[in-house]
Amino acid sequence: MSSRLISIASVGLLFAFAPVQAFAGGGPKEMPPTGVISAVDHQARTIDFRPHGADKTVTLPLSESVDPPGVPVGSRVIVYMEERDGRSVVLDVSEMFVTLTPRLLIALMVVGLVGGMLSGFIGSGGAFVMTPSMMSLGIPGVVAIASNMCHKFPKALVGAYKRYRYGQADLKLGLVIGGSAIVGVQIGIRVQKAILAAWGKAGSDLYLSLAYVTVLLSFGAYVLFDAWRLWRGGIEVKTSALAVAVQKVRIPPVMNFPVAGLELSVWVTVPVGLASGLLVATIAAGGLVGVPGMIYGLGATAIVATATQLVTAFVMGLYGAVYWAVGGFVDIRLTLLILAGSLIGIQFAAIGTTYVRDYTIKYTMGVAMLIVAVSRAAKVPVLLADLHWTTLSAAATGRLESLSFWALVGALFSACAIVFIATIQGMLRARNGGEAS
Amino acid sequence: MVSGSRKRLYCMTVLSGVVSISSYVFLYTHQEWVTLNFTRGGVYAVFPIATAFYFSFVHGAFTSCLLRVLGFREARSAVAGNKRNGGGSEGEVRSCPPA
Repeated sequence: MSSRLISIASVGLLFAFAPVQAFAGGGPKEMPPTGVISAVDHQARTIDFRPHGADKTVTLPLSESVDPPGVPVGSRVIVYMEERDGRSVVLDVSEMFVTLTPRLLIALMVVGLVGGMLSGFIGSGGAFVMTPSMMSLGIPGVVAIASNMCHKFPKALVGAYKRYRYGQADLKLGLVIGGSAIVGVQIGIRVQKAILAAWGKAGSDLYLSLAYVTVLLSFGAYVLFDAWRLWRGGIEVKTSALAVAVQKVRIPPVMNFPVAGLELSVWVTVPVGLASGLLVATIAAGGLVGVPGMIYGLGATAIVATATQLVTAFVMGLYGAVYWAVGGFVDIRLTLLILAGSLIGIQFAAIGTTYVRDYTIKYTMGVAMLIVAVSRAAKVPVLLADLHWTTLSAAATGRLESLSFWALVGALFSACAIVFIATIQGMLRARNGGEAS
Repeated sequence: MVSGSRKRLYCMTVLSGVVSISSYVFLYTHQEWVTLNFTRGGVYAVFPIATAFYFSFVHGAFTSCLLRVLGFREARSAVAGNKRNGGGSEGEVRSCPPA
């Protein structure tokens, strides 16, 4: 009975922590105003802007970075502003709705397919790559974040349902961790805001990069080592010493998680949820910590942990989607195009998990984590230069930025290639009467 | 000779495919109305959220059936695990799940 109450209470946290900020693309995001520009004064460098839902038009000055002839008139726009000398100045204007070209249409479905495959296999959907990819296709950042977030919860719902049918997802554990993950998101946002206020944007980015390089390198290396040990020795999956100790904690309430085969104090699940939420609040990849946390911290198998993470992702995704939709930033056309690809990818990968062993999932996860760590590490010298702690030429900065982005893309495609090959190999082996790979 | 369950799978694939594609076509042929009303914010947030749920069921069912038709099926051991956990039988294709 108490278990049910706690499950309900953890979902109730969705509402208790009213959406204050969102968390799909890293760092706290303020919602910029949207509306329609009725006129541009090229001489005075001002625009007449009517915010969405308002009756009055306001005149706003343009900063030197905005080219007046390039300002779109008559269509819905997002206006990015900054306070300068006590008045609001327009820093940038971008059209809110992109025109759907065949190229964009296909690109978004491919992005969705790849993200779905990753999500279905390792429980982390690669929003950290998907959002920048969408932005590079010309979609405004805030719309890319919102639309991506709105596709996350239906994708996670489908993946979690599919893997629940295979007896892999522990709904109760996913919901409990989802509750504390939302608290983690809030803490993460506040920590970042404090760092942002103290050291500015470059300082905040540097903190994030260093934190993630440290976390992803250490976890990623361990996960990969564990996978290698299992593969090489063919030994049985053993519960880690930490998980054994954690399972002995009996501080009430103690809950039974039947699918995971665990009986745990709710309190020991809290650090996993908090860490997962903290990561979601910054690089939108909670699974990269949530899944290893469940495996090595709580004692779940890799297959159960990745499936359960989808339940947690659903909780967090729904929370984020409601936040962005209330703000009016979800372009449902983009959401559904990503979803078209991701629902194929996530179901294919979910089928794949029934053919592979624990170490294949750990191996895939380890590879993704280490490449993402390389991506973040490439950003560190650039950020140090921004803080004037070192000097870097423009060419070197460009190369490092490029390395960072392509490493992320590489992480996504490498992981997908592993998923695809492992699934096909497993299916062929099963067809020939063999065992899981 | 196509078995009854196989025939049902094909029917479900076609049916869910038609519903899914029609929904996509309807949405994209009315994209101006959709983008205007779905981005009003506030209580209108229910539109994008409900639409995402709707497509997750409709398109999820279609992709699930399509993958089965293409021969991508879960391993038998997963079916055994599912039965142990009180799930449905995979051996027979009653209908495609919502996802």
